[in-house]
Amino acid sequence: MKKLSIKYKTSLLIKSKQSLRTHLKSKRLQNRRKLNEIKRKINEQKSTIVKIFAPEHFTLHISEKDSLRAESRNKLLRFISKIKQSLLENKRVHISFKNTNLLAPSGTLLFISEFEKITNEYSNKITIDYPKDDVVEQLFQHIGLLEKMGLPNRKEITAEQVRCWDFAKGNNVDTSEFKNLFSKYSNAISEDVSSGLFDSMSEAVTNSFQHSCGHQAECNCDKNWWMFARQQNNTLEVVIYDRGIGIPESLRRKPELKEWLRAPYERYKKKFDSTMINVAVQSTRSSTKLAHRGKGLRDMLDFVRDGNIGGFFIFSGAGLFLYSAERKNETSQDFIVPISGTLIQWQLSLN
Amino acid sequence: MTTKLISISNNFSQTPAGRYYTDGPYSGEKFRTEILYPALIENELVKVDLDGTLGYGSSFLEEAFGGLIRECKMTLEQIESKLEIHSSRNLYTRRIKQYLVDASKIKNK
Repeated sequence: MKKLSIKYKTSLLIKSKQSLRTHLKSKRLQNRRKLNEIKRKINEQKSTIVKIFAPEHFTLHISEKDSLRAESRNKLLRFISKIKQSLLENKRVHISFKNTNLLAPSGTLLFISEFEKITNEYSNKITIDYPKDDVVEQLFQHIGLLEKMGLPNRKEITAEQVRCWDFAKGNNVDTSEFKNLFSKYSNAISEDVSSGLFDSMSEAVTNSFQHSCGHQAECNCDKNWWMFARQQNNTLEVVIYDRGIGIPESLRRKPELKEWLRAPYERYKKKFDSTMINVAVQSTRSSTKLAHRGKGLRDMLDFVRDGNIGGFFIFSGAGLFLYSAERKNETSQDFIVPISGTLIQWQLSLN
Repeated sequence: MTTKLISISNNFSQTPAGRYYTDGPYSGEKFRTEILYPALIENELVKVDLDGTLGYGSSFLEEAFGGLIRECKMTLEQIESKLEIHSSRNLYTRRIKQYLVDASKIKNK
């Protein structure tokens, strides 16, 4: 074997040292890059968590103090819209309920249904904290919202205004869930009122199912409905909500109304959702164009009108139709921010 | 003369609701197709008792009874001679009669 010269040995040693140095340098560079990437991701996550504050009042309901309630409605709808927008922009959302102190059935039901849809689509991108208000926390616990968001229940349901809330939801016209509600109030409402209310609720659920997307044929669109009922003082409030296309849009798609919609007479009024709801309530036909259908809303109004009890509200799109049995009049109103779908509310005086 | 008594709450559901089969488990179409129409074909008189349920939405009633004329091709006269409606709420009896008359009018147009 040939003996290596010292010079050659030295050059080999230098080369190996150089190669080791290069290797270590590249390894260090790789590690630094990895570390920077992790730091960048952490910073990015921190910067894309948006904290959104829920409004003080969850309500759509309009009373004599209209202007204040309309403001509450707008704040609630903007809050929901902000959550959706942030998620669409691929941000993570943290919702704080620390300011919320009033939950009315209409606004709460709308929020619950929207929130359910949002959390189903973006379950790992939303977090919430416990509400500051004790009653609000009890109610969120009562309807299962805290548990759904991974927050353990920590309250005992003691508030009377929480215990009296009933909640149901479904994805077809099965009204057997209403049995408990009606047996609960069987002593407080007459048989006629009880049947009339069931007729109306059953019709509202049927409408939500059949007009969910404006198609008659079976389709895969959202056909869920949600129901809240509560007794407060001497009044029973029942709310049913669906996230379909809404009454105004359903009517605008009705071919036989095209002429009427184009006619110049009071055409500006036809742009308003409240006008379209009025037409639907007074009409005896529905968007299905079938003469044997579309009597439901009219029957609902007749129930409250004939019974001379409480009030009847239809919120759909940006419009509101309202019948007050006390004042015996119908009014309507349009708001700036529309809701998705239709929310129907009955207020009945209890014996 | 054969007579059949149908109690909707006992023979069908305490919570009838919806128009079509696709709407839900206790729809008007289901009641008409599976209970009411076969009873009308097989018997000379059919008595339908509406009491005992939580109530009836107009979609259910219209499809169950108006559908006899529209879908089952019965005439108003045939139905009137064979069908008796019993209810403690006159409103339902009135509505059913109206749905039958309306369906007959549309059919004869």
